[in-house]
Amino acid sequence: MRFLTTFAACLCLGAFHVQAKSTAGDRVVVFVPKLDAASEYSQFLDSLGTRGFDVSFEGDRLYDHAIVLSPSSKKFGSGISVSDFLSFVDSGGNLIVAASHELSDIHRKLALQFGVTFEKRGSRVVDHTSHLAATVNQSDHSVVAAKQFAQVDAVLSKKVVGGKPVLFKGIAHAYDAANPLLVPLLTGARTTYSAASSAARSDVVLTGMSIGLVSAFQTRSNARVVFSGSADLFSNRLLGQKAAGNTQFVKEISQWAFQEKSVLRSTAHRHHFAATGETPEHYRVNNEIVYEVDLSVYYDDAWHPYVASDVQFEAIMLDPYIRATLNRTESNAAHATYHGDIKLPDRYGTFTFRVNYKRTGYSNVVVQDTVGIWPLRHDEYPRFLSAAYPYYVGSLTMVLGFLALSAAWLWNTEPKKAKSKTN
Amino acid sequence: MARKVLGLAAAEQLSLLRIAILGLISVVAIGSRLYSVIRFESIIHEFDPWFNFRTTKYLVNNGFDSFWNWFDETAWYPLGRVVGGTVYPGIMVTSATIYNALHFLNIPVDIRNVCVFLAPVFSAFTAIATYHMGKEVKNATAGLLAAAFIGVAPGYISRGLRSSCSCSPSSCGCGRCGLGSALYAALTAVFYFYMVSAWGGYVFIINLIPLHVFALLAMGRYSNRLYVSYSTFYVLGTLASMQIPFVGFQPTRTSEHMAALGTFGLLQLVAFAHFARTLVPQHHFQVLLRGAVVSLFVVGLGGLWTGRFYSLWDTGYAKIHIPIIASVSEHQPTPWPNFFFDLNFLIWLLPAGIFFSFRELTDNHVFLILYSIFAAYFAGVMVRLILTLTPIRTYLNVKDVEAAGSEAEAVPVAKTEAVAGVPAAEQISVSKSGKKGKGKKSEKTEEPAKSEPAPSSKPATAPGDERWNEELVVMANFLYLLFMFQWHCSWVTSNAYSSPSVVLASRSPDGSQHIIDDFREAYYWLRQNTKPDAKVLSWWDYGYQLAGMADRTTLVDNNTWNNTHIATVGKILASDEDTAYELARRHDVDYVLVVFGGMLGYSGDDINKFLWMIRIAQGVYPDDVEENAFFTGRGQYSIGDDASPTMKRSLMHKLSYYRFSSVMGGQGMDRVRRQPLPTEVTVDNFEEAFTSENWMVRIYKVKDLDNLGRSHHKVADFVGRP
Amino acid sequence: MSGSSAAEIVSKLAADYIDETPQKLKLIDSYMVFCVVTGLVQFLYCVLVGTFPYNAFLAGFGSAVACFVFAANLRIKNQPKERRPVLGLASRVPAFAEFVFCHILLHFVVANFLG
Repeated sequence: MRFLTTFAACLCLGAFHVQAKSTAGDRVVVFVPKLDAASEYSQFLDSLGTRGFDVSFEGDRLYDHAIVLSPSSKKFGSGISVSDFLSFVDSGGNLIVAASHELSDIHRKLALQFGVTFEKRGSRVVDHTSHLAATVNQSDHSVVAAKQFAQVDAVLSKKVVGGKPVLFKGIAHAYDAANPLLVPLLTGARTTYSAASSAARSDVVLTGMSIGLVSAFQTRSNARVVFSGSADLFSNRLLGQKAAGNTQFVKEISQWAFQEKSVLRSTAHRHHFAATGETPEHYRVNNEIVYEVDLSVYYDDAWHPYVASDVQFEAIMLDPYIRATLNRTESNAAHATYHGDIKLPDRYGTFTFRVNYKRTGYSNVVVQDTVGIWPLRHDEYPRFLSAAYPYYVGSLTMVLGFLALSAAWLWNTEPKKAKSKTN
Repeated sequence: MARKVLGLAAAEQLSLLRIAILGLISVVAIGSRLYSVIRFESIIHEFDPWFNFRTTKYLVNNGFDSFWNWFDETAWYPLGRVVGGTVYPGIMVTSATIYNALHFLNIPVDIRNVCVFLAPVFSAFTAIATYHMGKEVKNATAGLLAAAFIGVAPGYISRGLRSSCSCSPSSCGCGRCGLGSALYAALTAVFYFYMVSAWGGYVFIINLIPLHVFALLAMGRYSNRLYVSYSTFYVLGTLASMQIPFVGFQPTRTSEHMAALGTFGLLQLVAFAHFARTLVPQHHFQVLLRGAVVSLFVVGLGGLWTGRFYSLWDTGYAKIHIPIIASVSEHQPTPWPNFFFDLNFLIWLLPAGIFFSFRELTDNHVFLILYSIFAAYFAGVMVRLILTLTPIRTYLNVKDVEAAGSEAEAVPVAKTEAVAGVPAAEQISVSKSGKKGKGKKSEKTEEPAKSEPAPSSKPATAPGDERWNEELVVMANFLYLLFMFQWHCSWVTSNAYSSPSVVLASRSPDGSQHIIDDFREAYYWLRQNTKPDAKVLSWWDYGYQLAGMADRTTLVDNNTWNNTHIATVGKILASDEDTAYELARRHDVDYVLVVFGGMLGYSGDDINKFLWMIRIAQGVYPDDVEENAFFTGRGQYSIGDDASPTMKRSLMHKLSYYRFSSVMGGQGMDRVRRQPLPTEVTVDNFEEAFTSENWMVRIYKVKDLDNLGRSHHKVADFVGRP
Repeated sequence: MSGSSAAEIVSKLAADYIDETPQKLKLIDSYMVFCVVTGLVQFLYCVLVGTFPYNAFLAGFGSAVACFVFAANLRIKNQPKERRPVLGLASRVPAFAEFVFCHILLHFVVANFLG
């Protein structure tokens, strides 16, 4: 995070500090090419301000979120490199990166690390059937009206998905569909394509659905990054369009990116004997236990109980021995409790009790404990089995027989000796 | 002197002398085992004792009940190990008892010291037990001589450090078995129980004794006392041995124990036949029964043998079928020099001893013969079993010496033949020793070294006065041999068997000693720099040490109970970086530890063991690991740039040679393999965490998954490699 | 052998036995028979029911066998004809003491093994 203090120093580009009620913190730094260029995005940035983000210049602050609105800049500022951005994200910072057709290499390099491959410099996204009517050049169809939203409730609400198209002017990117961390939020329609430049239309590389316009990335440590091929998406010009859904779209993706919604967490979890309720150092095979986990979700500036029917518990030792769905038993204002009655496997070893809840758009929740399951104690095995009674009786009679013989032997000594003498 | 000793008043003197000699032998036995403690320090040297130490500590701290039910989560992660049920608890219980007893007497000793000094002390007991057995077989002087032999025999020291205590009951047991008293048989059973509780080698005894009984039966030497001894021993011993959870029901299920069971049944039948014959004398029950019962015995033997026992019979079996067993150096066939090294002249006196046993074929001698033949065979098959051979050799050699002594006595009577007819014992033994021995002999005739007050002079001091020339020759010869033997033993003990495998000593050119302490350095690094529940993957050889010294969770250790798990570790080390990474993460591995000798020339390193890892892995995962792929096109085991691609990709190779060539310079050599180094070794998925001073131990951290979901190769491409 | 002679032999044997055997030995013999019967019953039960509590079976059966063997030992040592074979050290210890000692040991072990 230390490098972020240098952000404040490199404000030649211009940086805004924004504060909001995000779970991750409320300090935002905004990169713009020139300070007055911020006015181009004033509507968007103001909206952050109204959401409680602190958009003031304050020298000595660290930042929780960064917005890069300087697609054509060759540098981020003195001393700030792509690696700094990566460690910013690694340490939990959230990032919105906006691009344009003049995207510089440094942005491209940054995006590449997230599996987002921007098109060549100068190429634009074009759609001849769905676009904003250009005011100057009739044949310029590069302000695309895109409405191929991803069905990810955690990021985009019904309002956006079922609403007006989003105006997009910028560059396309290819997204790695195999990467589970990356979700394309807005893609091209079947008629959309990426053209190298208006002059050379033959140079079509990406077309249709494989064009990523806006993509969201959530790291394993739950930092969130949004790549938009268009910086104009956030500009006053496009936000001002009445026919477009940009305002709502931008609001929701920035809310998501800055951890203002769909933030999932487990506040507590516990496991204990079903009968006594105590948690031992280790269990024994076939124990009946209770496992509970509390989940809450953050939205509307507060933690709420998280409601779902697909929360699963696993007991794993190399392979899952148990996989059971937990039931929601109670909810209070802050969290919902998921409960499971588990019978431990008939197998001893070091098990991992895990709730591994990963749903697209939501923060990953991984709760795990390493728990030893021990074999029964030597005196815990069933004893005095009815099947074994004959043996008990058998050995008991042997003892008795021995005693009887001994008694007879000792008692009868003298008469016997007399007898053996007679023989 | 002889007259004096044989004088009436001297009877008590004699026993006093015996006790004194026995005491001295014990002192020698203890002393010779303390070389390593004096040289280095009071630490536990070998691998297995680390486990004994750790379990003893647990036993002392937590009591017997929790020890019995101890489930060790830190071993065999994530499977865990049921320690109470997979251990021969004798040694730990003994140590803990001693520890508690000493503490009760307000003598504060460390558990570690108890463990270190347990073996030497028990070696003294072994010597005493040997004395008693010698006494049974022959007489007190023979016993003394045998005790003296066993006290210093290096064959016993090398393994004896580990389990000498387990052998004293064995010798006791063997000795007592021939006696014919139910009481002693019962005591034997108790000792047998103790041995079972201490050492897996009890199987040897439980096969040998029945064999002895069987041989006696087959020879028609059945007697009631045989019945009494064996039946009592077997019934009690077997029931008692089943109390050890690790042994469990084996005595009734596995074929190793079937011989004993079969012999027991046979003995019952024979006894019954005898009994019947006393009532109906004219019938030839015995003959009939013997025939019937021999077949029964054979059927009993013909059951399924478990693999470990197969490997005893066929040296090649293990290599083919069970690489895990063959990979242990202790399970290798014994090389001949080793025999001589460990047993010195005892080895070539052995046949002579057998010869003399045959000449006077008592029941005890039958036992000796059988024992020696089998022990010799097994010792040939497995290095480890030299242990079993040692005691019997000492007896037989005592017989030799004895025989030589008594023959010498006979010489004056035989008069003229004297010089030419140097006792038969001599000739036989000398012929075995070959020309060398003969040369020695002729040299030594001039030099009467009679001045040695060795205990062994006792058997020799009996002969009459006349003609002591010839006697002197024989005696001098033997004294010389005995002297040489003692000398050899102390040398071997002090040099070969007292260097701990944890700490290595090397000599620099100027003769000063340099201690190489990389293992402990690395283990302590782990102990201090990793989180307490870190899981460390290493080859199983280091498992006990890791658990003991580093106190970290291990995946596999020297208790090789789960072949699959070991094979998995082998596979991780043998497969390419990505596969290994995936597997290592699946097993929650935090650190990988490899032992590398290339810098120092330490030949017992992991690259040299690597072929075993591959073989073991291949045994379980034949689709994933292929031994041949690790050899070059010309079938060489190469590690340099000409190594096979599979070899170069393998994790073991990478972790061993990572950064090595840059440290050694362009023309660096691997000092173990004497091969040029591979020039470019990259490791992306693992991060070098620690490399010890002499590079003997290298520890790598398994990297976390990349936060951005990239492969570590990509990350390394982006960040750059050192 | 014809049936009649066999029967003769058997009856003679029985007569001899009753006549010549000291009562002490008869006592032991009956005890041995008792052991055999107990052992057999347990064995049959095991065959019929299965080996499930195997430790219990082994303990029960083993104790029967062991008692038999001990009794046999005792009998051997008290045989009048052979006057005890050379027994080494053992001859000093009364056979009955040995017998008792073995039994104590045995029952201790068996009791431990049953559960």
